[in-house]
Amino acid sequence: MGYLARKFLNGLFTTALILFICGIHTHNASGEKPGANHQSDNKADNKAGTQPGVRIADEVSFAENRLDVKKGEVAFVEIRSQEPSTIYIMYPTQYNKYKTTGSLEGVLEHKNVTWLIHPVPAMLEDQTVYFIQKGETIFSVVYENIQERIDGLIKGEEMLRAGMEMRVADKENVVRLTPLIPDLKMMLDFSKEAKFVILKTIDFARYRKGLKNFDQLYEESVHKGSGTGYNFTTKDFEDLYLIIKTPDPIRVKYIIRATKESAESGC
Amino acid sequence: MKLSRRNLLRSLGISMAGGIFLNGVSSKKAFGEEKVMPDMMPKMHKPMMPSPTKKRAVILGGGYSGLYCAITLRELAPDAEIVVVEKYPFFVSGPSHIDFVAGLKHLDDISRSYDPVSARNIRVVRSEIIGIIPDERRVLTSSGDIEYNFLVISTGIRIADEDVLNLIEQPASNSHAWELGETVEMRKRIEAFKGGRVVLTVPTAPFKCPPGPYEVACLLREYFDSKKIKAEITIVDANDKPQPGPLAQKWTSVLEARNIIYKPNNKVIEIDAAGKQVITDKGDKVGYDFVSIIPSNKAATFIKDAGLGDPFVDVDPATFKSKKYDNIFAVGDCAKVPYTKSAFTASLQGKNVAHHVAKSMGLDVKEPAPIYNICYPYVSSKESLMVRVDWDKDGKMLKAEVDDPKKDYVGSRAAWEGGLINGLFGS
Repeated sequence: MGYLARKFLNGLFTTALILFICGIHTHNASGEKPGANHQSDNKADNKAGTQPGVRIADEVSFAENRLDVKKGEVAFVEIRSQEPSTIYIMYPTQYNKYKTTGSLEGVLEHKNVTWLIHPVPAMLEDQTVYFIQKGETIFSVVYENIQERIDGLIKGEEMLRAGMEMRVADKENVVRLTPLIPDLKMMLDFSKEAKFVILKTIDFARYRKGLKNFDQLYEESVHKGSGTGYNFTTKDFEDLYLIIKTPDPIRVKYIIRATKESAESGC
Repeated sequence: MKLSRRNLLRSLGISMAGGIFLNGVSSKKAFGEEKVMPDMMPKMHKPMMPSPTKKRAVILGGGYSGLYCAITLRELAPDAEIVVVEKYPFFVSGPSHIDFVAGLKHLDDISRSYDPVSARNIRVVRSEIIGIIPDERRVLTSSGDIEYNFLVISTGIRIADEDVLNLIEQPASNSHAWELGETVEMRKRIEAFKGGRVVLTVPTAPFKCPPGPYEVACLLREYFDSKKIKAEITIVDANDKPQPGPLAQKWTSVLEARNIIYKPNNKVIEIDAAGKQVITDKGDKVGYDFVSIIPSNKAATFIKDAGLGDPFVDVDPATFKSKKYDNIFAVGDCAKVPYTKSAFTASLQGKNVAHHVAKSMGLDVKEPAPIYNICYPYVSSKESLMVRVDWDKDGKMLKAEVDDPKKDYVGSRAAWEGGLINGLFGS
């Protein structure tokens, strides 16, 4: 198991990291660059509280985090919350526009999230990314060297690549599992038993349009089942869609692990 | 009557409408991209040429990777029989598709006859590839079978229209710059565009020429502005950021500065041609007056049918050799390799694989040079970005660099593509 996976999956973040709790300005590192020492560290600029011109936060609290990633490193951001939150991820140009106009056009958005692992690679040059969380959240960062990470994968280590947990309602829900490349290990975990099916894009399009229903697709699909979890290995680059049917609101979590084979695919 | 390249180009410009190309047949059908099961093909299918009497290398696809493989192998293996199978009657340089749709170049500027390649004692056969039977060392084409000792697959990508609901049923609703026929059609539509909403969509990576969709958007902005045509340009991107990833931050700034609306994480899954809108996997409906959908990029279906890989050919990135067959190789956009799907890496992959084919023929050749990529994505007709990536011989990335838009890079781009063309055709 890779360094990062150990860090995250052993729950080290909850005890050892410097935590940034929304509403508490615990660390102001504005303009600081992150270290490259591969320690669990948070050098993001966390600013809490309502900002002028902001439209996304009404009655709920929110936080902003600026993340600077040095060339050759990848930052893995972990965001946790007790209640579902909305997370916006933006580049400086988008952030500046958002600050001046309130526009979130073109911004990456994740809704109903209670846990997120988001990688920010700086392969060719330094990267700056802003995270804005709507809701009570905990924000943490781990930096890794990209080359060391690739070397580890090539040696056969498995490493966490991305992950998300979200709350879904008591009905049929859609979770987009992407971006995918061949030979990734995908682990799905549900807080209660649920019936699910995993679809390729064209079947998802038919589902969304009402040309096929859940039961029809369940009959036809390879990846499906009832239970509290499901593991599989991706075969190609195709985006996949999890359709989950549950009588109660539940939490759905997916974890994507990179492997030696996925590293050799070059993505 | 012999159809000259110039005459064909002229006829392309005249007759191309609604995806109709060559004899009024749908381009998809004309170019043999419908599924054909090799095991269903009758064995009485006539051979196109006699069985090989000396080492025969058959190269499928006459694009950059296939042709560079052919001419390099000609130098390394003077006695080998080399056959290139290509569906088009002439060569068109891939990177210039973008120049063409933006009105920066004419088709005649960017196409070449295969005659200079044939003059190198390389047999260029115009035919549709229908299937491969690896166990019989045989390629099935629309003109007959070809037996091989060594096979190099360099057929590029196939546009998977079937991944977008209603796109196959409504082909006339779309055009893009990722296939020749579609490129010509797109240019015609751009010239006829009077203003309104322009929607360009991007598939999930990997796809051919990753910066291409954003280049097209920037060049269209410049073109429409120059014509004083009011256009609201929107990019609907299946990826979470502009591609390739290392250029994402630069692209975001470039698009913002040009007032190009960017919608990430929205994969187009359906087109509603009657309602003039595309529908994304998030359920968003984006209206258009002009649409350019780039569906997923995959390798030709006969590759999957032959058991060579899906959606790309499974190869060792160090040797380009199939993981299943020692005498089959694959390079360029159709291969599952770590290298960018670009004309430049395709050319180097073609040179590189020729060495490995020659080695398999028992020849003593030196180790080929590792692959690298360099390209200069347009942000306007006057400025380009620069990106360079180097890999080691096993396909492991060694170093990379990017640079901001510069005027000098437009000249570098012209020299870069000119060099690739000259390397094959001499001018």
